[in-house]
Amino acid sequence: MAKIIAVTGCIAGIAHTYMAAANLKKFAKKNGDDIKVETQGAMGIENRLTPDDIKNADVVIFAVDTTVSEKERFEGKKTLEVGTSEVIKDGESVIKKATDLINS
Amino acid sequence: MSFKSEMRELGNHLQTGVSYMIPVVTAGGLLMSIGTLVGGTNVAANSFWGQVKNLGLIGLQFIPIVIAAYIAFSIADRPGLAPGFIVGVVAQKMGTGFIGGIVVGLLVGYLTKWLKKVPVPQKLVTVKALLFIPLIVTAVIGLLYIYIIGTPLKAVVDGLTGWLQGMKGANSVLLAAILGAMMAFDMGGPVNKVAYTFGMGCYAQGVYAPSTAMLLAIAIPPFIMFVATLFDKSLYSKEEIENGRTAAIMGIFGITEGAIPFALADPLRVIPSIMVGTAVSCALNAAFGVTQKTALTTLMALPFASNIILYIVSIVVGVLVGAVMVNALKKFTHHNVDQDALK
Repeated sequence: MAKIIAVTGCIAGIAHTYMAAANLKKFAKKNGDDIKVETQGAMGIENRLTPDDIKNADVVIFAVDTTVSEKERFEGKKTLEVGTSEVIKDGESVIKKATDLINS
Repeated sequence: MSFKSEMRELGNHLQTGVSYMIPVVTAGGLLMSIGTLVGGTNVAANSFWGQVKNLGLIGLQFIPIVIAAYIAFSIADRPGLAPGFIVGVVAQKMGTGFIGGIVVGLLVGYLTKWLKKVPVPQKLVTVKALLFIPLIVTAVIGLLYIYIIGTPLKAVVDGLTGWLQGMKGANSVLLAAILGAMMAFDMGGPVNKVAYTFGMGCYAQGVYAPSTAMLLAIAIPPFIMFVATLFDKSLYSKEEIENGRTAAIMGIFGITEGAIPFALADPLRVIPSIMVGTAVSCALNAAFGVTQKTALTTLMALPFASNIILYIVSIVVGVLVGAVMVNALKKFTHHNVDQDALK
């Protein structure tokens, strides 16, 4: 079981941001992985990842069409960067890619 | 870094700028439109509705500035903001608009990012952040813009704006149709974003025909799928019918993504249909010459359309065309609902 954290964000910050977050949670759960998702939408940062979350995570997924806010928090972590559309279309393979990254 | 990820990063910077611009456009455009709608086109500047309109216009002037500052912020983080704002105002005052804002944002961003990497003795680190970077970047890019880039860029921007504004008849209908089809193609994906950014750019330049088409397109795909589920329930699973209702409600509030589940489940029939339906709506509206000057989407912009009846006609016709087409495709190409439900 992997510990995954993720950040999602899209241009308008009203739909893709949250759909991507929902899909990541769905497929991580299906895979038996632990996940926490921070959304960076029109309302700013919600469900903020704590320093502990970040420290304990095995891998970080950035599912973003914009730049991740406060990216320096994730320095030194293994990260996978994709667009929000990729997660919405095929969340399963994004989770798989992320978990593969842990062992690489 | 590979070329592909380099381009992806550049795209993300532009999109970050646009994402910070959206609330500015919404507030400014709406106040301006309300002021004009209630106070009339020749509203006196010092009357109440004149002030509402002014407030909106001031908001709209911030478009190039916010774009410049937040593209720079996206590239170089905090140190990019101050020079981005200052030179952004230069771009705005020189009349280079949205494109000028983008150029300033990129120049400021990359110069700042590069300067951040220049090594300095430990003692000078604070001076560098506090003094050198804001001063050097603002002076260099600002003067570069004033003396070298600004004037030719203004000529290019004016040329483009004039060309878009002068677009009449078949060309404007074609442009609207293309924008509509692009918006519907991947609903929030990369192609949609290109059309969206183009529409927003036109809006920022005060060219309202393309922005009207782009914004009109947003709710058409979810409306098409909602109406399609109403027309023939046997072609859709129970979840899809439920999804159709949610999609329509989301569509009213300017969210196009509600149609995505339909497109994912049956891309070959759904995507062409919503593209055609949306293109029809946009083309028809352009043929009628209807525009709206808010940044609001499809139905929310309705009260601000220059001809409300024709605007509604455009929406209804496009939605009907799309809905009939998708149902016909599903029916005559032996689409099996149960198969999809099993997935």
